[in-house]
Amino acid sequence: MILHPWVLGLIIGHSALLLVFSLGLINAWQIYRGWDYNSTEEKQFLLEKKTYLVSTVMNFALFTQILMLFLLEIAADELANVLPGAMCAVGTLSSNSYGFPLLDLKIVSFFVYFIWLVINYLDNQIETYPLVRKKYLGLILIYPLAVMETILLFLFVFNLDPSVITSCCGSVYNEGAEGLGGSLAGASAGFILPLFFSIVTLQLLNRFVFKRWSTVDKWFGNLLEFPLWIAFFMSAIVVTISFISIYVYEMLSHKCPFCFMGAEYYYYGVPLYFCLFVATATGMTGGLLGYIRQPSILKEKTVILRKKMEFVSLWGMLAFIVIGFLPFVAYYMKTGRLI
Amino acid sequence: MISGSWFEKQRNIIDYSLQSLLRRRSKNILILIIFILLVFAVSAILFITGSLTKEMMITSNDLPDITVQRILGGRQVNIPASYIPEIEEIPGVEAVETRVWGYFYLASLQANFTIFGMDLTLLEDGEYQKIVNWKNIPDQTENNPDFRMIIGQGVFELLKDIQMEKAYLFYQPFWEKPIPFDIIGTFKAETELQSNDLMVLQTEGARRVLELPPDEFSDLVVYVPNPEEIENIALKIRRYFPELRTITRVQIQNTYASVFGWKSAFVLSSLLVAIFAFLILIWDKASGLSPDEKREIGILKAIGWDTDVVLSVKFWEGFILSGIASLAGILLAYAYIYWLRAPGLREIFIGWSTIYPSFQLIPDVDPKFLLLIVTISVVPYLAVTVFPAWKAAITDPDVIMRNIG
Amino acid sequence: MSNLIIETITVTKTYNLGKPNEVTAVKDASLQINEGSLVVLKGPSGSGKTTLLSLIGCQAKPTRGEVIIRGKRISKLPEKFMNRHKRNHIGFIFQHFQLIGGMSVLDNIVLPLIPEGISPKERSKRADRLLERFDLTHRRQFKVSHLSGGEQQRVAIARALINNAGILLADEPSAHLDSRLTSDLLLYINQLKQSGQTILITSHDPIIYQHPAVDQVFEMKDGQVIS
Repeated sequence: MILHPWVLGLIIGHSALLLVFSLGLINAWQIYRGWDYNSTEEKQFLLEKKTYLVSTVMNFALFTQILMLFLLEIAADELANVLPGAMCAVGTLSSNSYGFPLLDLKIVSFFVYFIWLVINYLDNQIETYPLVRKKYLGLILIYPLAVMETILLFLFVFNLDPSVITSCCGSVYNEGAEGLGGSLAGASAGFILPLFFSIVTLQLLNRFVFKRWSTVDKWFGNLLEFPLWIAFFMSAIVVTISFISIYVYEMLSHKCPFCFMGAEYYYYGVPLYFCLFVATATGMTGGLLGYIRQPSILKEKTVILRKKMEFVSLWGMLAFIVIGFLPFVAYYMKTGRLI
Repeated sequence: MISGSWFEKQRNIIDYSLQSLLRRRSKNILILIIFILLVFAVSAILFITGSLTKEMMITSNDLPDITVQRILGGRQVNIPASYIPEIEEIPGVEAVETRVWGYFYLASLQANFTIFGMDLTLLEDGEYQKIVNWKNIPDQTENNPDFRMIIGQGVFELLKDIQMEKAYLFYQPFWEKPIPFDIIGTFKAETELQSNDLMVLQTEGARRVLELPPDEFSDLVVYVPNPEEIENIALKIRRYFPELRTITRVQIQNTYASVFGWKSAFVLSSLLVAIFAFLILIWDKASGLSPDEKREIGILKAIGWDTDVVLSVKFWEGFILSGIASLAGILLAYAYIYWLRAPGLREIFIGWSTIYPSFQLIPDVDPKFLLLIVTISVVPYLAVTVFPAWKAAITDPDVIMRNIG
Repeated sequence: MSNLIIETITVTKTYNLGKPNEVTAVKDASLQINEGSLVVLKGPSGSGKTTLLSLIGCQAKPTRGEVIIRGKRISKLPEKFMNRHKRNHIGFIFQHFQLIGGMSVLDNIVLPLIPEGISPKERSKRADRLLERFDLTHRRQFKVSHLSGGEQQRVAIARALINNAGILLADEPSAHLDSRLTSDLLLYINQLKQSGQTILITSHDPIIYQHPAVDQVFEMKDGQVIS
């Protein structure tokens, strides 16, 4: 199993990520320990130079992580050909207990790397690098994520067993099924759609109303944004599985969130997820930036960056909604009824 | 100074990187060639595996849904007709058919032939008429309709050597007398890979040669129209008759896919050593900056380029180099597999199975493959150049200030 | 109207601090230079004038002391911000020209503009003005390595001026020139001074530091400014 080309690809990609990240970690630790802005010693200059290395490392990590997310999905799909019972990525991922946790961790990592990179960018705009130590401490705390991911990957790969029958998306994302898949699919349209749209409405309210109230903006508007985006992401996933997918496949029982990434469905999933991830990433980051209030020199740059993030996330959210509900609208126009 | 946008800046940097690569052609050419060769090798293997698998999937769709064999003492034996009614009754089964086939070993030529029994009139009259080169048969052999056969090209060549190309005598030492068969045709060349060592005999004649008792068959074949029920029905058959073995089409497909995967992985892993060595080469080359390069970066830093910008240049250089190498490698592999039909590699992948693929090699270029190849090539390359690129980019302008000449 | 454009306050540069091969190239150097003036740093080789020039030119950071350019303390700035200041205010002409041989004259001249995101068209426009001014238009696409010493000198000057910097620093500009080219050089320098540039030159050549256009001469010995 290990030598299957797609598995090899995953292993190579993750190893590269971990190795490069480790390089960054060593330097991050050195910077965290020894940083003294006011020093004119050679040592400080070297540390300054090392900040560039760490930035490059994290850029590479994000780039590779995005690639790996795609790769995992495709690899799972390909591996489904050799695992009995599996007909698409879902089968492969559910064939042992490490598949889905791996995917979840990768998604979390993606967001975390993105946020770190934005904060890094912000910090580099200011001459005094005010967030340096917090930033690198953060990196040191993020590192275990990468380690865990690699461990999970190896566990997942080593536990793939072509002799064990696994389930396919039809049975995982089935209302009758036990487990998370079942509950996700079972979430009826009547429940999840209002929830999803109330979150969206809350977002818009937060953006255009709450924040304008200057006293409220001081703490309420800012607090809300970050958790709101997490809620948005999760409810969007549920909506995708329990509602959107039905109309893409035009089948009440087919609720798989991966099958529509393929060529047969014109790679529909790609723009859909792209908008979702971009919107959530920028939205979350924007919200997080709102927590940064000192030092004050930072504030001005933060505000500019926040505005950009907010702009992108808003449009991303709208695009997601449009793309997501397009199949539904198309179906309704075609047949005049719901499935 | 009025600055341009971020995009303009990136465009400038990419431009400069390209120019920079071209200026140092000789240094980069060697790396490029090795890189292309490695990508070529990996891609060729992936393409051939993908095509064979795809083709296997297509041809194996003609395989029966379930093949049922009887096992005695761990080996396959003849299966009596008595099983048929009970299997037919399982809900979901559309039909059960019988098959007569086996192997025949010709000691004098040390050749193993596959014998398949069928009603040859189906070939004579139907659409399959055109896959056979029909021979002229003298009238008298019409008396033995049961003892006619059509053979593959490979068999024909062998029999020509022993002057038996018109009629062949089947004989085993313990038989009373040999059984003569008239050769009424040979399979045409385009079916070569499947028919090469095949002898298709009239059913009754085949039974005689294979010594199959009446009412017994080599195996049974079950047709199940609903694919989702195949597993279940196979399971039921095994439950009712523990002495029977079932092989589903899906199982065969999975086995093929997995063996193709295994074979390709084997070849790939031997490449890993080469890839690893290559990466070390890259690291080494990238780490040691030539005095010329050092000077150039020193100049750039001295006239005001940020470390960031120099790093970007180094990154783009790497990206462009590995990108071009990957593309070239992929294109070369495509040409090798689909135009030249993979001389050399072909032998490794073919020739171990009882069902030979026809080796038409349908191009199966999925964008997925490209992503995989990029991951295996560009990502490690960039990973290895991160540190050396940084080392280069932090060169101090001092270097050129205190330099002589 | 004269205001301080460059000021150094007890600037010191020590290499390999704390190690056995420790060397102090510049010690407690204090200078004040007014805008629009032509200043020469003179002294024998090894006196530290190149190092002092590189400290002022943002090419290195002082071990102690302050360098102030146009009122901004640049010594403590991280590289990125120091560079920005450098790009906006300073043009540097190096002792050995330090041009990139495999590149054309045009490409060498516009090099400082690339990270600024200036479009190729705009870059050409600016460069062409300078090419004309220094009589290099006919050499536009030539590889720099095919140029004569004098022509390379002019390319180096053009490159230093492409970003419209107000301060020009030149390190031993006449070191590799014959007397005819040196007088050409002085002509250019004078022209530049007339157009408002502040110019700081290091040189041990009397033709340079005794030129009538020179406003101030600082003498350096063993790393210290002695006059």
